[in-house]
Amino acid sequence: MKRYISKNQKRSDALSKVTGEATYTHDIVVPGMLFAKVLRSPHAHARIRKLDVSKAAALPGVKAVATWENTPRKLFNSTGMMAFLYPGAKPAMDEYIFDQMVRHVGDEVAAVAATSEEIAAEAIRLIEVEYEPLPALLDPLDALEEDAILIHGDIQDNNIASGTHTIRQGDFEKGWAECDVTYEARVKLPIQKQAQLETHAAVAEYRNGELTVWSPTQSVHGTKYILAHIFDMSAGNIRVMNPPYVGGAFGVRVGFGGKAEGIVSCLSMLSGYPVKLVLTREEDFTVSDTRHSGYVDIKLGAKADGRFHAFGMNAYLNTGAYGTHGIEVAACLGNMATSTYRVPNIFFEGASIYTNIVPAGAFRGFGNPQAVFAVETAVDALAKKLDIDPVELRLKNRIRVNDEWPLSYPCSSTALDECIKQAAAKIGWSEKRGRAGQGRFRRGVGLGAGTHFCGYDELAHVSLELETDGSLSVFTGNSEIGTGHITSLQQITAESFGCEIEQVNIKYGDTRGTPYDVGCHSTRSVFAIGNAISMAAGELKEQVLQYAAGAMGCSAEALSIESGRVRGGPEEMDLGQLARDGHIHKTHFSAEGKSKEAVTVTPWEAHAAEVEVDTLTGMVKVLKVVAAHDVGVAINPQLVEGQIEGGVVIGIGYATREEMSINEKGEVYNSSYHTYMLPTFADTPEIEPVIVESYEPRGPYGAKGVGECGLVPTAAAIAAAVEDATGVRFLEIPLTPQRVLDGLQAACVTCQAEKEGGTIDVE
Amino acid sequence: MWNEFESPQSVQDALVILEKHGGNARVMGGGTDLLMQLKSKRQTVECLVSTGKIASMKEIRLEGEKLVIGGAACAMQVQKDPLVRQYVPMLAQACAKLGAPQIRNAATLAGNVVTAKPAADSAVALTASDAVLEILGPTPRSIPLIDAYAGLMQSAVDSTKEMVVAIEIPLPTGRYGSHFARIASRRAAALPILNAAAALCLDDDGNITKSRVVVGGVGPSPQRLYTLEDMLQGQRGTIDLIEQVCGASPDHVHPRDSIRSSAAARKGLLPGLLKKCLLSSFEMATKKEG
Amino acid sequence: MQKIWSGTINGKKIEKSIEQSMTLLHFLRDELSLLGTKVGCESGDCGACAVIIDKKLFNSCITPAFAVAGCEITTIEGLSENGQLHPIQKALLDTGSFQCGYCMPGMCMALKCAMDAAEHNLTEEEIREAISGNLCRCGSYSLVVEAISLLQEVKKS
Repeated sequence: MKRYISKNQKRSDALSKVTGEATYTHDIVVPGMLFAKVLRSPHAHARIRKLDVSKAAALPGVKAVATWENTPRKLFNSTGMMAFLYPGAKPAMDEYIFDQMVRHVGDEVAAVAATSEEIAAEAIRLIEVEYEPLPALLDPLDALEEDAILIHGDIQDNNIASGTHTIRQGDFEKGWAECDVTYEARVKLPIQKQAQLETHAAVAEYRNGELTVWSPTQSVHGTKYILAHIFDMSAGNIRVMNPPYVGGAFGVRVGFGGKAEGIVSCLSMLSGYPVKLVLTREEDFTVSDTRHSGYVDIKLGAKADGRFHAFGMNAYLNTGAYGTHGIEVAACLGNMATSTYRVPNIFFEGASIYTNIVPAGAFRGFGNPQAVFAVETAVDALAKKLDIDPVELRLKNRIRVNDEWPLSYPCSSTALDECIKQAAAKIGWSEKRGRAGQGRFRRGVGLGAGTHFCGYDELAHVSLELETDGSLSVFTGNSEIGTGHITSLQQITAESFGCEIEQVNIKYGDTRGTPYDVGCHSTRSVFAIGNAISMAAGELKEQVLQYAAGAMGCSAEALSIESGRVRGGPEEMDLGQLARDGHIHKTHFSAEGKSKEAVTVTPWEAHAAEVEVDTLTGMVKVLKVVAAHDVGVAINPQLVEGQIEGGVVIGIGYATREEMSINEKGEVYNSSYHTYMLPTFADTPEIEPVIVESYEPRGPYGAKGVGECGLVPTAAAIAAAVEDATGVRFLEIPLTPQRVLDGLQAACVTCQAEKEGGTIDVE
Repeated sequence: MWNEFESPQSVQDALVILEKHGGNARVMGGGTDLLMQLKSKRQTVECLVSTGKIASMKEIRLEGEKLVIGGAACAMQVQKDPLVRQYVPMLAQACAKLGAPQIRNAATLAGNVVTAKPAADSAVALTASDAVLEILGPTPRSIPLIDAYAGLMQSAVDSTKEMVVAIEIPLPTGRYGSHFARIASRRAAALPILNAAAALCLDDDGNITKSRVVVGGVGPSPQRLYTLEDMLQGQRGTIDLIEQVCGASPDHVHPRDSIRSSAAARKGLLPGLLKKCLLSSFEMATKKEG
Repeated sequence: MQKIWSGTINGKKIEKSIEQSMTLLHFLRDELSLLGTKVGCESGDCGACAVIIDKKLFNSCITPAFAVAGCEITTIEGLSENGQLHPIQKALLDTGSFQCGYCMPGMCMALKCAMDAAEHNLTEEEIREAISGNLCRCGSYSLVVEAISLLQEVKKS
């Protein structure tokens, strides 16, 4: 019986957060701090012909103006991808802090640091710029044309960011010809925005040759490395910190966010003062990274008995003006699309393609939601053609442990079958499927299944120290972005070492004093850092017991650590006493946990949704979502459920409401919470998270991860439910009332509803 | 944004401040729309003159045959007021749908009208109530709500010189029913795609002596559908009649395409929305005694 | 242009000379260092800045500071008394009804306002309505309802 594993331990940050004491980057105040504002391009694509900042610089209160002329001419990639990548990938090194070209509406042109925000804003208005507008590309397919304008023509001769990801298994062409049933389609995915509650911000202080940056970044070490690269500084002289809390992230800030960290660093160096930049909500919406939109073409074929036989996919992702995570998103899309089901013949090619719109980067799911939307559409289509129940078809074809698949790591555990069965059972699949009727309001149920990965071949490294008072400090370069995993890591620490959980302090979110870590993203933190912690805790325990055995004159094998005391010997020893005893004259108790090899494991998920479609208004009401997740062992079930539910809410938004619209000039329409339709509480249906445990032998206490998984199959499940309700399978999301009405009208479903009439009133 | 902020305690004091600033000051109700408009237009006014401390403008009372709602009464107040619920229930309904609790605590009805949004929920309901704006300033006057719009997002009220001190609604006579409804893409805090308010008065024999049908989202301001009202006027009130009239409604509106909804879609949704409003009004009216 | 602002904040009488152009949000944060009230959107859409003024809920980002001079204002810092958590805070803490925590201060104020005003236990629908102006992107809504429902159960017994 484990004391701290599978327990709903209260969050370690709970008190700070309910009292309002929690500090976020917006709250950082440094003596002498200046305030920054950024001048942004009104054009989607233009060359800067003339830039005159003299009036701005002369304004009283302005202490520095930064432009391409006085900032480093060093190409970088603003995301963690510069700092860590999966094997074989090449980062898209395509950004300068400021350039003479602007490549999307909102692209940074210059920045000002002044004694107040008002003065900085006034100074921005005094900067005179002469632009030479250039033709702009908005659609990734246009950007692939032979004669398309090159968006980064100075560094490459095409519009593909960091390369094309390819997967080959078997022989697709041959396999396709051998299929008894086939389906092909193109799906279109929208731009979705993280819209986290804390807009991006950063504070920098350059002093005594050292640069200190406060930021809500998800990767403090990654950001540090990017800064070191840009400023040609020794990395050890840069410190990046979370304050320690982050007001949501969801991938928007794995590395820089809106280049804020780089901009404030420049301004601090130029002015000699600390500088703070807080993005307005409008800026956060229109210039910080989004989810990749684009097109996914899918071909899926099967034999008459339902076995999938050939899978082909082309993904054209729109990465906008800068590559950010570039090929990694296309790779995740392709890898996840091809690792849920057994298919002997696979072809995949995908890329992130430059256009002149706001850059796309990382957003919870990272290409997987796009993949699953396409794949599950095809699976349901084949189920229909084969006249096999969609649940059965998935169970038949799902990947099993150690199956051949295109990934570089094996499938070491899966309970996807259980996830699918439970999701289907709990939504009432057999009672509700195919019962839509012909009325105005039609109900349906649908299912979506998928997988993900817990980190991608990334190492983890932590250090543990027994403090002089007997408490245990854990040093990790990871960040707490709201998921609560720091608490789960505390649980793992206490369990592995044998102390009381109140004695464990996890120090995180600061590059000083913590070993390198790629950051909180990629569903990796509990898995990778948990493993490193239990490794280190085991070693530390060994040190303590050896020492205690020596001190007591007994054998170490007889001893154990329980509730913070060494037991089993002639006397009990208090850890604090032991530490004080040892630290000054005899020995120091500390240990490193360093992964010996990069390991990846796979979580699994299946969502079942029930919807009601009003065929007169096009409104899709999601009635219920059952989200069944194989997370390995849930270290803290309540936190896992919170992650699942939170993911589902975003998934519902992706499926039914959320879409960034960009006009022909490249301007973003949705620049506020007023115009970007996040699900509010009023739109949130009943969500039933179901934890399906499997034991992952390579995870800490059997754990895997869940962070991104909560929204991976949601949109697919909802689209499937809408098809069950209306007979129409939508290949484009979100399913806004307008889009649904148009689709229903095209399929003549509305004709029936119009005859019937009825009243309309959305509460 | 603004340089000075005044909270006068009387209408007179407010008008003096406006005059003093010679067109560079502005009246502010709750500020929920005004502040954002100033921000997006990058406009700074010399002085904001708040009506928030003018006690007389916060009253809701009966005055003879009129329900008088003070210009500084907020949506939450209006939503909950027993007089409003009794005499003009559609107005209480409209106010309840506005934004979120904290918005309703701040937003004033007068403010909603003067910011001239094409489909402000309360403005649609007020139009259907035959509301009249009492305006004080250099040219004191009363204007029907329907005349309060000078163009798209343009008010006939000049908030740099004058203020809407009250909104007067004639008390309905006879057997009266009203209803407000809206369609939005999300349940809370969303701009409507389409909204509508309807009211019916019946005589003892069940004939329609008066009707009002107002729609927001099909023009630059709330649109009164006079033709539909004519079709109802003097007729015996029946469900069939109402359905017929609603069915004819798409021919009498001229909406434009917008990012939230196409013109065709709005026309398609209109009959159902109006049916909700008219049938509910009819039901309410028939239950009343003469 | 500066003017003296006076009123009561978290039970304390405050008098300070500030720019008339300030919103209540920046008055609280930048002048009084009450950083618990958060900046979310500055357009009145997300509720992260919600505070209680004369027992009613307002978004401080679109409230000019001088519009509420003379009023009684309560922020998240004024919720606990003598170091004791308010029952709402304790309920949310116990249930773990938050993730990144950024929406929490505004959420707490919205809940307090609704619960104080109601003479009965809030139904689930009423709790939803009370926080309908508080956005939570982490999606913790249902846990908030759970926390308040449990709190009301305890109060009943």
